[in-house]
Amino acid sequence: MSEATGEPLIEVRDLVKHFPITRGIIFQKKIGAVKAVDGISFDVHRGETLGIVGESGCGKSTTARLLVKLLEATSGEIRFDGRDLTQLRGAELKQMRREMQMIFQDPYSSLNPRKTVGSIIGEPFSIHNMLPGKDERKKRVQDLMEMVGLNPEHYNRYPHEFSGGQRQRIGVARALALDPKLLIADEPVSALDVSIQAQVLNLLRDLQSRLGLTVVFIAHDLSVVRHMCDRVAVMYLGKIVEFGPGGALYEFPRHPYTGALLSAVPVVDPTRHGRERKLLTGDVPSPVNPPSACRFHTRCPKATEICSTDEPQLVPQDSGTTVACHHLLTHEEALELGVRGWG
Amino acid sequence: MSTEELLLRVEGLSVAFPTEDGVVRAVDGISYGVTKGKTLGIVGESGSGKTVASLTTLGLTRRQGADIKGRIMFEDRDLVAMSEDDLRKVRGNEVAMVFQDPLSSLHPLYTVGKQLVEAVRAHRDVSKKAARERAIEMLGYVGIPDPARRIDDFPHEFSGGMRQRAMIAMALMNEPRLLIADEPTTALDVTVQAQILALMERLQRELGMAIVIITHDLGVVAEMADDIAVMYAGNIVEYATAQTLFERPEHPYTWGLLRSIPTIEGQTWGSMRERSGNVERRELVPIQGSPPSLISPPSGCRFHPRCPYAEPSHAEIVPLLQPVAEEPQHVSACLLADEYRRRLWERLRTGDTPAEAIAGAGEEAA
Repeated sequence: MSEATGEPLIEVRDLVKHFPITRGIIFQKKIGAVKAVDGISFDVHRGETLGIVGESGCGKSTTARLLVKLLEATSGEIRFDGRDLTQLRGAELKQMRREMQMIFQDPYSSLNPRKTVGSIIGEPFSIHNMLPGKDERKKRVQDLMEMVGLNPEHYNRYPHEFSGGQRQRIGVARALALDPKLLIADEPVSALDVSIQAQVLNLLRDLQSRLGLTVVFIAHDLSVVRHMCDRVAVMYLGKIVEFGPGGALYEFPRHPYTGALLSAVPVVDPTRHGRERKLLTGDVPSPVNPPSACRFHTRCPKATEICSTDEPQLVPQDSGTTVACHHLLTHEEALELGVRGWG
Repeated sequence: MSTEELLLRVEGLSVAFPTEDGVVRAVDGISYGVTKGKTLGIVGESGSGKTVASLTTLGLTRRQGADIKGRIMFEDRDLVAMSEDDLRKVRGNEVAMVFQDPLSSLHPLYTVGKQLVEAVRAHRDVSKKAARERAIEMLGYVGIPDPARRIDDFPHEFSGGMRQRAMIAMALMNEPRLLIADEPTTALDVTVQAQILALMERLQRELGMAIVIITHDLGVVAEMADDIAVMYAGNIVEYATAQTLFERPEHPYTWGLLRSIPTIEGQTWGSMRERSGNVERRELVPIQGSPPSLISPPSGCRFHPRCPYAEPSHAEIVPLLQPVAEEPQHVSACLLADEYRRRLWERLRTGDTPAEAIAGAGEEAA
């Protein structure tokens, strides 16, 4: 883990992203919206790793894309280093983009198969008109390759000549080319084999501490997030339901959804074979028409009437996390879910 | 385990595919058994041969021109030698399979109900009406709400979890005695995965069928399996009961897998037992390198190029699966001496890196 300073690099306030659903080809009419991200606020501290977890469709990847402005926010504010990203345009935005880079999930489709590895990793320099000298650029690219554990002699090879883990290293080298402050990793290891996963995770952690990077780490695998992250945000249907330090969140989850997620993770411990699990029933509701007030109330074992009428606000708890729930889990209930608990 | 209890016995199975680049030996001489009513987990990385072995059980590799050797005994019938017509009577009837991706395994242009009805009528002479009733019953049984209405939906109208439930319902239509599930939950979210695993456990309890679950996820096998086979590069390298495999793993590849996964409790496997002390090592220890090509696999022990404990002779000697000392049910294919291996694991489980373990185990011996 990293040395986080507690000083924010990114401040997100009331961020909203709605994708319109339209009908008609020539005369398009908006008939609804997919509320992918619906009013979230959080800070990312300098030098920390922030994890975002949740089921598919909860808005975690949309959040990542909003942070680097690959998507235009519907409303809200993203302050990066004190400047509002949502207002930046043209040259200023391009300048800002150097500071933030992204690593994608699929190492097969995120590299151009017709380009050599050298030109893929060197591409950011062309885009930003840096290092025009050919030798200079090659030298820098080879340094980057070495830094991520690739053989610099493979400069002229094509992506298909590399294995999945090595391709992900190419993606990492490309992301680090411009010395960014922020790295956004969207499911960086979920396409990799178990033994390769650990190599890439260790690489990311090592690079982070060497380069002082701030990382936003998005994954559906809760164990991987636990291993990598200082603080964790749990998202459900476009909202943050619980947020806080990894230790507190995993040992004593307060939101019933966090508890259900943790309880669902298979444990590598055969003595717990056949244990009774508290299962969530049903599927995630549609983000087009999310449930009223607390969006989790349709699946929540603790839901009462108030949950469908009053939306709970994020409130800091003594146990260390900030939670949006009317009926917090007690310590006994958390233990029943199979988490470690306190003491 | 006595042979009478075995529902499926795979003996010396090899499957090779001729390709332009050479012959791919996807499975190279493996043997295992599946006990009636129990669950066997097959774990391995992509390319280890775990899926090919199971597809071959159902004769699904025949069309690809595979060269198949060995025997797959389903009770007293050999599925490898069986004619395609006879095999068709077994497949989907006595032995059924659930695949990883339910969207591509269901036909997109037929309703779920039609596909379920066909699954029964392919094997049984029943009326369409009776088959449809059975389909509704099965959909309800696997937990699809309002099955009488949902039966006429198309696959795309189902969510991912519901599609996998429908696949399981289809597999169960003829009450198979063996269900082969190939990465049944890999494409699903954790909460849905937990539902599907719980469903499979309940069905096994109630219907008494045997299950082979193929996965790369050690957590899933730890929860589901009674016995576990670990595969690497077309071979089984270790075979034991689930409890034994996680408590006393014997093969360096199994150690490597265990040490490369982070756990939900925030520690890696090696330091789990030490949680009462102050030891909290958070480093993952990956296996170096990547899985080998199956066209020209490494000589000797196939794991030797990636094994931190390998000795020069391991590049020449092919290890055989042998019972571990004092544990007849536990077999492992490793060339290291039993005693040395145990000293290594004693150190690895408390958080030593492979290099520290080698140094420590060497000192002890001296």
